Amino acid sequence: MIIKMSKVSVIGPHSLLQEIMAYIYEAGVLHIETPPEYVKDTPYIRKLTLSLEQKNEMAELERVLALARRTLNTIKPLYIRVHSGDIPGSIQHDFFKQHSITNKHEEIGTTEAKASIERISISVDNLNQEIKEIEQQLSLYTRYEKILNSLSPLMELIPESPFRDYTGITLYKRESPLPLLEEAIQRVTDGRYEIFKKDVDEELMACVVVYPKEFAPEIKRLFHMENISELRMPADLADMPLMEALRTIMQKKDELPLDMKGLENTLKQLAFEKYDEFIRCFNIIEERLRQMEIFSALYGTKDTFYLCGWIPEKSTHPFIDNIRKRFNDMVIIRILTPARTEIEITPVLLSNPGVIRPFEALTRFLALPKYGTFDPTPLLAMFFPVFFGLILGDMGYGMIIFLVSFFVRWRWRGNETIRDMSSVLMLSSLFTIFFGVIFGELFGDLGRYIGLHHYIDRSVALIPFLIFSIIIGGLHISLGLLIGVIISFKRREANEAIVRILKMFFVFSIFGAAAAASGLLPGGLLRIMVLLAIGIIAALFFLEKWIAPFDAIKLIVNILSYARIMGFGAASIFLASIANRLTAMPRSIVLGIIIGIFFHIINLVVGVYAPAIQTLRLHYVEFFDKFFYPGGVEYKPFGRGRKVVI
Amino acid sequence: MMELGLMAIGAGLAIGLAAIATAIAQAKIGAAGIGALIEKPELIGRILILLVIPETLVILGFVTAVIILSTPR
Repeated sequence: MIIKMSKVSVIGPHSLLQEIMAYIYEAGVLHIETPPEYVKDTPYIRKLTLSLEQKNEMAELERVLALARRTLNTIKPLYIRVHSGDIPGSIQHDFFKQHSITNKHEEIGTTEAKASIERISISVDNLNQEIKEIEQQLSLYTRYEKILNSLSPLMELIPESPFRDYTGITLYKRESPLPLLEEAIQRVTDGRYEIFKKDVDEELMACVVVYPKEFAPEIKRLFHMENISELRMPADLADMPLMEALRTIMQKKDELPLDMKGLENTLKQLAFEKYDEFIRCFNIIEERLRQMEIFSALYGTKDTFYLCGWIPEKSTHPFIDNIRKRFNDMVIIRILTPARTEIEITPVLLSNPGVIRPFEALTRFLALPKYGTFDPTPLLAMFFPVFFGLILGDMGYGMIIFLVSFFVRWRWRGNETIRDMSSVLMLSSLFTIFFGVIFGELFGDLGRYIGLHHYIDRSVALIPFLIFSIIIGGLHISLGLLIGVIISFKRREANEAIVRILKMFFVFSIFGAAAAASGLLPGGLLRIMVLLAIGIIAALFFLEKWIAPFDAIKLIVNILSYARIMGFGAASIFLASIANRLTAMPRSIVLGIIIGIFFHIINLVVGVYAPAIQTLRLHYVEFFDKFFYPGGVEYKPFGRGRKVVI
Repeated sequence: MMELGLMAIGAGLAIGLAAIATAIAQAKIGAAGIGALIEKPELIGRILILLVIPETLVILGFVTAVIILSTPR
């Protein structure tokens, strides 16, 4: 249901503004909105502006918040990995210890929070920077890996001597330049040289040319003139002799991954230890910024301020009494009578009892209903599990879905969305088991082989099941129209109410005609029902003009759309039966069982997805369309991110 | 026998053509929907509705096929 809201206004002196805002913030029930136009247009009333100091503070807070968001992108995934168990045991243990210690709600100020965020962010940035540099170095050295692997055995063959020099070169084998090069080197060095060569791969050959030191300039010139590519070392090693550079690279290639691992572990440790503190500081900064944003949206005169907002009706009087008690006559707080047009901007707070509450997520998935209309969550909670069960209707699948969703709900109990969705599935799986018993289905037709009794065999009774589905559609849509009529009257939309009443009668006349045609009602009623349907379309024409015939057709299509309950239900049992047949096909029993399990898993995944989507579609498109007014404004009270539960 | 064959072809065409039509419509809606989702992820509920609307076609095709095959010969 949609919680009733009261509108209140608060007027007080500037001197009390900070104190009152702090109280409202602590109470956390007032949804503040900009004042109505008539207040803004009153002489002497203007928008309150922030002082230069406050503006600077706001800019600073925005900067820190942006920095914090960037840091959070790094440390949050590490925190989440703790929950998935992807963290070494000792670290995990330390983290949880730390987590419980820092969870104490000791208050810290904005300055401390800012300093803490900056300190942690700088540490994270530095570590990230170091990791990035190592990654770059590693990627550079990896490019030398092949050549190094080829050259390192050659280097061991070269004896150390202060009178010798050597140059590493790479040659493309297909150009076969080695004989010519050897000839040229022999000419330059007068035969005092040696070449060590080794294949790098199919195309490339690595060579080390050793020669007396005095020939070094001529040899270098020769390589340059012949366009021979000398082995160039990375910039940081360029000044080293080739041999030493190669040794350094090989050594670093072994050391760098260890260094990186160490840095990554430090980063993890930092995230584990500081995440809780960081989030607390983040929230403090965010809340302070929100407070300042609210300040900048206030109106008032030279000496007073004015603010207005919405409070759930049940909390209104305690809120007003507390303000009066605390500020005496210095603050004027009044309950306002909202204008009729304000119903469109009144914030919406949904509140439903325990079993129904998880289905609020499905309503929100579409949109929030407007204030003053109808919250469809209870109806969704009533029909969604039934339709889901009717489509899937299998004891085996139902039990698996129940167990899996029970486990998921327990495992991720801290995550509200997952908890809600698994609760919805748990309830739906109970109906799946119930209808499975009626249809006598256990993993498709497997139940029949073990003598399971069935009350309805939907793989055979397709037409009766189709008619049953369409009747459900007719009733469901009529219920939607009935709710729509009530809401239209409440919203004083007489025209809309009459249209919906006519549509309800149109549905009855169509079903009456079908019943008369099939002999369930006296045959004479057929003509009356058809004439009634035509009469209703004519009446609709006066109210809706040319859209009326299309609306009538849409209504029929809406009802026929419920045939998907039969369609997807039949598909589900046929797919399960095929999985069972495939199990029996191979000669090996083990292979047959593996194939069977594989296809049943596929069918189960499809069996959860398809009924859920189709049931949602039936509600969103066919059912809600008759009474739902989407576009409600979400109720966001000014306070410490608390959830208001009525 | 001939009659049975024609009925089977009719049923196949009813569901097959409806499925092709649904696929064409869903492909276009899906592509546009993904584009919209990148801009506004909160629209997922509405896009999902738009995406599954053409499925009525294939359901009606399936119903037609079942009725054809269930017609007494």
